[in-house]
Amino acid sequence: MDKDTGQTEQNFSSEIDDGIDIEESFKEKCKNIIKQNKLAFFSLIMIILIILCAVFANVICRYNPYTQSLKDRLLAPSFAHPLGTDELGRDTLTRIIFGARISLTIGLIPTLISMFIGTILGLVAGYFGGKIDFIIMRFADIMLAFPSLLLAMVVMYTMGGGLINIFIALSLVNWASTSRVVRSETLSLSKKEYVEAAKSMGVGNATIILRHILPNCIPTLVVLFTLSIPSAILSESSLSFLGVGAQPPTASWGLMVVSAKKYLFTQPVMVLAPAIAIMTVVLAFNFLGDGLRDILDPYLKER
Amino acid sequence: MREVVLRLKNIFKEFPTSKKNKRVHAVSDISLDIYENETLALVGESGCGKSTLGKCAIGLIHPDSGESIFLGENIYDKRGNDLKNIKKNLQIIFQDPYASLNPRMSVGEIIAEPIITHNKGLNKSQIKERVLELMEDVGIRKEYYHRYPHQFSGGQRQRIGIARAIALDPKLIVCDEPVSALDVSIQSQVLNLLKDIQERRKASYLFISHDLSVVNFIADRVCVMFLGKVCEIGNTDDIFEKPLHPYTRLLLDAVPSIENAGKKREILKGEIPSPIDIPTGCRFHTRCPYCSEICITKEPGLREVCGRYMACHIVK
Amino acid sequence: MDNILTIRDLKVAFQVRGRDAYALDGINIDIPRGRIVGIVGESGCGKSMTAMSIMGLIKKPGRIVAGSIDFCGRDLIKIGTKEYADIRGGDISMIFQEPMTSLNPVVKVGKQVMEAIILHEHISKPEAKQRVIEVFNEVGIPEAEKRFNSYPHELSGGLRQRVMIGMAMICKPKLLIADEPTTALDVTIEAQILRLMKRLCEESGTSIIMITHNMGVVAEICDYVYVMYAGRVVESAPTKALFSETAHPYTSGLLKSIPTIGKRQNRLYTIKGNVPNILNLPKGCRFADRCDFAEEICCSDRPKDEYITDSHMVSCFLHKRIEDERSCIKIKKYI
Repeated sequence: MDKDTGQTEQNFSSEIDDGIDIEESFKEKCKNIIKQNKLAFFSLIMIILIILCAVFANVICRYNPYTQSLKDRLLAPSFAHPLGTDELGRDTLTRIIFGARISLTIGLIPTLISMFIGTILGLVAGYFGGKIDFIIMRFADIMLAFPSLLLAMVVMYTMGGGLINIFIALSLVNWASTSRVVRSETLSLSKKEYVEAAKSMGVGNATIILRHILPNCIPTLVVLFTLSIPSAILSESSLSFLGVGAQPPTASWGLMVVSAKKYLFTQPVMVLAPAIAIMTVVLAFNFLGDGLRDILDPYLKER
Repeated sequence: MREVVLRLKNIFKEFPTSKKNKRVHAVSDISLDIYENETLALVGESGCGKSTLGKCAIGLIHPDSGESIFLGENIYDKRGNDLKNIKKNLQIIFQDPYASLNPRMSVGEIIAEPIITHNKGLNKSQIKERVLELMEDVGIRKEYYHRYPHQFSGGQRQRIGIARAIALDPKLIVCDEPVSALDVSIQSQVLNLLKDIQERRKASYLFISHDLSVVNFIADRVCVMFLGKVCEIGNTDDIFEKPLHPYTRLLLDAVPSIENAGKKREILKGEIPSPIDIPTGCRFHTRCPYCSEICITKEPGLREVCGRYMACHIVK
Repeated sequence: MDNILTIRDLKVAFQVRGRDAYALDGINIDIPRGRIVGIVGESGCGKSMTAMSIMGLIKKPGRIVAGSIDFCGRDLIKIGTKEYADIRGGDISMIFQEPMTSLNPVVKVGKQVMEAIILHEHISKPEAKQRVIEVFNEVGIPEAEKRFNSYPHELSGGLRQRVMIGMAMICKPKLLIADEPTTALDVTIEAQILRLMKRLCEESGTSIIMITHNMGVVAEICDYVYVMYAGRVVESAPTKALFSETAHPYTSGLLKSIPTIGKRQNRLYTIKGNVPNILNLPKGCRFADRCDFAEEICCSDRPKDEYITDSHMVSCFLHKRIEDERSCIKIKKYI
């Protein structure tokens, strides 16, 4: 690729060693990545589809998820209601599609908040060390020592149900694990020679953290993020199932499982449908996370 | 007499180990002068404290005691902006060309970092101009401005590291084993480059290496270290032609070379003592073929012999 | 001739993105009995790959495409896994650059060496222990009995390498492959290890393949040298001849670019350019684009192996002319 220029340049540039020029095109690179991570790619498509469904739920669905119609209650799956109806005559498929909105927001927003808090605390603890590190980490240890679902339940009980409170509860519970991961990453990164080089140049601490440490944490954070989403979704379902999460008549998958459990034997589709929906989303995010780890890691190892 | 750029005075540095009461004696009471536009090489085997001393010299590590005086001022006393202005003149090139460049920054950003840090007033195009000049100086093609480190070979990465180090026209550059991770044919390219840059920019090098042939090529003066102490320090030609200290002699003898192949050589017996349990008296006495009683009990001080300094009781 | 190992036209390819990349491209190597043979080259030239091929340890994306590795009358490429396992560690053994990674950190070194011998020779434990201590003494480990019970991390780099050599030598192999055994060691320890290897070779008649990038090491202990570049052998000769009658421009460039102790040089000779990537190899002579003498033919055709003397092989179109030019310069100097 660069061979021609190498010959036209003379003098000392003849000493230049040519770069590793196995530049592949972007297209080819993508092809290879997809080929090696079929499952992750499939999961990504799945997730995009689910997100699209959630966003355009109003357009796709024929029914309103909240309109009750007692004459249509507990209908078996049919052409009009592909997954049947529930005990109040609401279309199950519609409620599942609308439920995706709740599950995805709950998967994304508290995770984002907790990652944000955890990352900042982890960076500070890992980079400065000493007393700050000790305080932050002991605090995180306490958070981790507590069963997270129990903690979330306590928060929900004291503050009451509702979406915003779920966000707060889940964010409070999850930051500790992020901060630990980020801290250990920061510890190893701050021993890197390029960080030392920056220090020797007189670059400030904040700049070093933002320019040299944080960007190199990002692959780890992306993986951690995708892997935390399913656990947040599961927590929401569990909280709703236990009655302290989303409140009826909100269409939430966890709530749907609860209300359908009475009809487990008479109309199993009512339980199975939201359960399978939860499983699909959780698995898809997990596979995507695993795939991302494989894709991002070797790149980092290659340095 | 030439001007002293950096004067190290009685540097001590110990590191704690996992065991209590045991410490790694990395550098014990070393004083050195580095003159302007000269290359002083620190040579020694692993664990002799040469890298620690190099990092102490530019303040990357703070020693337990001692002074590092740059143009009359002790750098360990400085804080804030004063320190920043001193650091501008003290730069470092690392051994591992893979670990020393941030993989997420492009070549342009990496070389621009020191310039941006120390020249707040420059605008983007001025900075880019400076970076391109530097890239030309070290022999990286301008077209590679936007490339990332992983797209380069080891030799080229080392050139980028050099460009970053010379960006602020420092008075002293610590070169911490800059060529030992490179292939032979690339090593000579980088060594030539370092020499060219010194001629053009009149910087001083503190060149840390375990490779004596490389040191012989690049250094004006050599300081041979053993277990945190200076054994011998003097002009390169003197030391390589007629080493006085027994350790220097045996070290030079041990290097496998094409010229001396097959000759009977005296081989240094035993292992390098651990820097945690340091031998009494002369630290080299456990391996020294000329060891006598005084060597075991009394630590030799540096004294002047034939225009160089050396620490040995036996050699006259 | 009495060769213990004969490699003929060995080709090893790696599947990278659907293409075959040749890490070894038709190499011929002979290892005579009881001699030390050096393989020198820069990173990526295929020297470690050669060792791995002999040991049958080429991992999955790579495979041996063609050629033969004849060891004492058996073709190692064709034998089964079980037979190979017997040969490995028994008749052929190997030592590596970093002994720490090839020793199990939680098992005492004596025990690890013992396992090696019990695996290949069916002897009792006390006997095995006795043998281990003998071997430890032989490779110059002080206080061998005490060291038997040490863990790898308690030993210094030099001692660890001695343990590795002891482990490799305990079954009295016919061939020992040493992959950069002294690169991680300090010069004074390196000198000790080199002397030890030379002594072992002389005493036990084991042939040694010394893989290294250091010409000094080659000069010190090797009888015969192969110089490799980008998956091919470019020159091979008895050590003395290689240094005195260097024929290939790569070899001479390499020799000239090493700084020499006791010689004041203002600039070092440099080979221009960079070691080629095996995915992106030049056609014809692989050294052509870095060679000072290259001509058209070098860029288009692969040079044949030519024998200058019975034992000195060079793979270069122009070696005769280059030699003439050199002797001209020499003559001019005398005039």
